[in-house]
Amino acid sequence: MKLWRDLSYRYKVPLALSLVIVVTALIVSLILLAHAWRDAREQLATNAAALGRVVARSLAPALLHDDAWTAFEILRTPLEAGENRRFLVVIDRGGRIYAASDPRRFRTLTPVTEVPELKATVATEGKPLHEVGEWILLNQPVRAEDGTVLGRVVMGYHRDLVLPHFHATVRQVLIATAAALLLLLPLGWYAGNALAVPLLRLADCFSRAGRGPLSPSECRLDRGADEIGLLGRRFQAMLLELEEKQRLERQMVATQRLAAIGRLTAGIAHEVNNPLGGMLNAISTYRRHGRGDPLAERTLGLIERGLTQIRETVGALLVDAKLESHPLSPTDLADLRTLIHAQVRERLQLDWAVALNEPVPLPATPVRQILLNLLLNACHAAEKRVALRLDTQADGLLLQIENDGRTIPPKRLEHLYEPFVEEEGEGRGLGLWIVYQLVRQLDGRIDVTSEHGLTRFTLFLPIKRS
Amino acid sequence: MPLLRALWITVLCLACMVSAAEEKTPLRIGTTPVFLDDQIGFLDQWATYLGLRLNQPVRFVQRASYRQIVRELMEGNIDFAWICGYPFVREEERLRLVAVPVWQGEPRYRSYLIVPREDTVTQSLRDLEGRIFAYSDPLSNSGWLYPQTQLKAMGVDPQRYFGRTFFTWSHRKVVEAVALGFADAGAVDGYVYETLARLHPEITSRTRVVHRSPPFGFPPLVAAPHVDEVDRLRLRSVLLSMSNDAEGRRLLQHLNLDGFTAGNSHLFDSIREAWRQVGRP
Repeated sequence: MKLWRDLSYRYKVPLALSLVIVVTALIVSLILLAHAWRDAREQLATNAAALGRVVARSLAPALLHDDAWTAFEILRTPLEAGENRRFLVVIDRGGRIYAASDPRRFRTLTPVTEVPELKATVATEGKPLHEVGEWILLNQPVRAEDGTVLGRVVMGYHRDLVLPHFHATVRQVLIATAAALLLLLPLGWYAGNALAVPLLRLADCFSRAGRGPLSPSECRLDRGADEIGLLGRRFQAMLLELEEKQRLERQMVATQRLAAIGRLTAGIAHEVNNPLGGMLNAISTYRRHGRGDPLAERTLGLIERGLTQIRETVGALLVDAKLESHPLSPTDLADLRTLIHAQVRERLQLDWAVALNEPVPLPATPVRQILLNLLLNACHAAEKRVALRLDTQADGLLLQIENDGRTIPPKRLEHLYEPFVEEEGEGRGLGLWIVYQLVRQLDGRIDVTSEHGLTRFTLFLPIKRS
Repeated sequence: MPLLRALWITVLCLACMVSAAEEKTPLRIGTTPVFLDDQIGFLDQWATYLGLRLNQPVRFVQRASYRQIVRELMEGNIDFAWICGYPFVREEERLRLVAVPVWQGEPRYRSYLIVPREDTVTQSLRDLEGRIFAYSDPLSNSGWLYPQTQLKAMGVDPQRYFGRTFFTWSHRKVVEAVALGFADAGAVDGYVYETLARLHPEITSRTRVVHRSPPFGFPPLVAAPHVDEVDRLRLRSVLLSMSNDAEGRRLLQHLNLDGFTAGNSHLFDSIREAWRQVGRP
C-alpha cells in the first residue's frame, strides 16, 4: 500500500487503467466462459433428451414383451464400440436394472438403490438433468401406448464430453481476450500517461517553486479548462502574487531601512553641525585677533580644512529639498544638458528626450540635483549610451535615465540608495542617497531595474497643485 | 468323363439363357440362424451356384425366428428350409429331410454352454442359479431344448432357476450377449460357435466354453409339404455333390462344412427324446 502511495502518477495512472482493463477483460472472459459452460451443458441436455425420447420409444415394445436382448441392442445402438463416457440403463418398474449398455458395470437385476451413479435418479425422477460425481444423468420414462410407465431410461454422460466443446470455447475466449488486451493495454498506458503528464508538470513546477524565482515560461503548464489547467493557472497567479509580495516586502524593508538611516544621519548631522559651527567660529575669531604664530596658524589651517570637510559631508547628508527654489523650467534642463555634454564628449551617445515646454511647479534645485546625480552616475557606468527621457503627465513628471553599462548585481540593488555603501572606485556613495532623500521629500517614487546590460532608473515626481 | 463335361457345358449355356431361367418360379429356401446367416453376399453366391445346377433360380429367404420359417414352410410360402433338428422332429410327419450337413466328418453337432471369459468359476449349469441366461431361440435344440433337459435332469424348474432369461433369436447373438457380459451364461450351437471362432475370434475369445453336450443330429435342410419328390431329390443331389467341384468346395469352406449327406430320421432320435422329456407341445 505504501509502495502504491509512493508510486509516481506517471506509473500509477497507467497502471490503474491497465488494471481496470485487465480486470474487465477477465470478468468478460469469465462471463463468456460461464455462458459457454452452460451452453455446452444445455446442448448436451438437448441432445440427451432427444436421444432419450428416441431410445425410450424404441424400448417400449421390448419392455412390454420382456425382450431383454432387444432392449440391450437398442441401448447399445447409439454408442460407439468401446465408448465408456456415455451409458444407457433401462430400469424396470421394480426399480431393478433391466438392461444396460455397459452390462459389466450395471449388472442386470441389481436394484438401482445399490448403484451409486443411479441411486440419486430415483428421488429426482421428475428432474430431467442432474449430476452425480463425474456423471451428468438424464431420466426419461418409457411409456406404453396408453401412457403406462413401463420403466425408465437413465442416460449418463461423462463430464468430459462437455469439455472438448467447452475447451474450444475457452481457447477462443483466451485468444480474443489476449488480442483485446494487446490492443487495449498500450492504449490504456498511453491514455494514462496523457492524464498524468500535466499533473507531473504541475508537480515539477511546485517542487521548483520553493527553490528560487520561477518565471511562468519555465513551467510548461496545461492551458486546458479542466481541473489541472485550473490548478496550473491558479498556481501561476499565486507565483506571481508571491513574487509581487516578496518584492513589496523587500521594497518596504528597504524603505524602512532608508528612513531609519535618514533619521539617524539627520540627527547625527544636526548634533555634529552645532559644535562644528562653534569650532569654525572660534578659529575665525582666533585668526582675527591672533598673533600670527606661524605654527598655530598652520595647525589651525589644518583643523579648519578638516572641519570644513566634516561640514560639507554632514551638509551632504542633510539633504533638504524644501529650500526656496524657482519652478523647474526648460532652461534648467538645457543647463543640465550642457553640463552633461561636457562629461559625454565623443565617448558616449546621449539620447535626450525631454518633453518640457513650460515651467512646472516643482522646485528646480532638488530636481536638478536628482537628475545631475543620476546622469553623472549613468555617464560613469555607461559603455556607449546614456539616455534621459522626461514626460510631463497630468499629475507629475515621469523620468527615465538609462545606461548600457555593467548590470548591477541584485545584492547591490538591495542597498543601492544607502549612504557610504560603495563599490570600489565609485566615489563617496552619497550621490544616490541624496537622490533618494530628495525624491522622498518630493513625495516621489524611484525604481531601478538592471537587466541584460540595461540599467534604468524610473522616477515619478508628483506635481502638487495648491 | 467327356460326357459329364459336355453336360456341364450345356448346363452352363442354359444358365446363360437368362430368359429360360426366369421363366421358372424361383426355389425359395428359408434360412435360420442355424448358421451365420448374416452374410448376404455369400447367400447370393450360393443361390447362384444352386440355381445353375438346378436349372431354376434360387432365392434365400431369411426370417427373424425359427417359428416364422417353420410357419412359412407349412403355409407353402417357401419350398425348403435349413432349420434346427428340434422343429424338424416336431413336424416330422409333414416335413421331409433333404440333406444333413456334415461337419468335422459327421452329420452331428453339439450344444455349448458358454460363460464370459472372466468367469473362471462356473463349471456347469449348477453354478448359474439366479443368474442371467441367454437362449438363442425357443425352437432351437442347442440353444434352448438341450439346457431345458439338463435343468430337468437337475430337478429344477427351468422357469425359475435363472434370475432372468432372454432369447437373442440367434446363436451368434448369444455369444455376443455372453462376451459383452449382458448374460452370465448362454446356450449356443457348437457349430456356430466354432465357425464364429474362425471368422471373429475377437468375440469368442471373450467367452469360455464350460460344457459340451453329447452329439445331436446337425440342423437339416427340409422340404415343405407341398414340394414334390422330384424337386426334393434334385436339391439333395446338388447339395450332396457340392464337395465334388471347386466352387462347391469354396462355398462349403465358407460355411465351415465338409459337405452334405442324405441323412436319416434316426440322427434326431436324441432330440426327439429331449422333446419328450421336456414334455412340451
